[in-house]
Amino acid sequence: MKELVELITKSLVDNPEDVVIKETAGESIIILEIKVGADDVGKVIGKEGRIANAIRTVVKAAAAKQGKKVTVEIITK
Amino acid sequence: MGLFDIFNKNVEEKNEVIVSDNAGNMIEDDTHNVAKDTLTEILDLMGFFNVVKILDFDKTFISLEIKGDDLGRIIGKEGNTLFAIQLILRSILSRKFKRPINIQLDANNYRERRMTALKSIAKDEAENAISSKTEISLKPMNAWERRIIHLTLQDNELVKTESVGKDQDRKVIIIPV
Repeated sequence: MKELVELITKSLVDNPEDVVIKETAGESIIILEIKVGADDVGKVIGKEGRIANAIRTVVKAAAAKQGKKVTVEIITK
Repeated sequence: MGLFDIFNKNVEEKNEVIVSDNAGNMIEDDTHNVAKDTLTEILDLMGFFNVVKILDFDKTFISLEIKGDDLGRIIGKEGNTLFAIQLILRSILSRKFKRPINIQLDANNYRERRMTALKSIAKDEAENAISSKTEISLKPMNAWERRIIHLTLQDNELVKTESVGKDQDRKVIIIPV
């Protein structure tokens, strides 16, 4: 799950080296935190949050295949 | 260069398309193959091991089809997952090639089935609007879906259609004339 979010996030930003993805996996729930450089936050969130929502939808579909729930948080500071 | 290198080179060249830029210069463009590879990689990391087929492409538009198992999950409820992957792929490619590239994804004929359903919704709700003499507001839809509704009803002189609302809440209303 982490690799998926990492690939997508790094492909969307200007500074992929600043991307940090933290995955905390419980038995049935996975929490993913996305941290990017300050200038790249907008690129990961998108207009009206469309990109962030698309990332959540894609990650949820992947987690559902494993029978898990997932939350994706974008750290904005 | 060995014989195998020559063979590889030919294969690569075969997969490239030659297009001309605004000045009419011929340039090589491999965008559609990058789109195919990126989509395959995203699906792999999602845990879906599917084959991606290039249906059609030009300089600003690429149409891809996902084949194989798990297509229901890949499409998602009302196409949500398919359209989310499409948006991400479009953003990645447009960024990478520094120009707007429109991506259209399909799986298991979802687009054709959805189009048939949308045409039927448009016609039924137009009849409801006419008989009740009131505006009918459809569910929020993406741009592609709204366009199908508008096109389906454009020749119906008894109603007009408008898109209202912002972003994810944007929807079509059918207004009796």
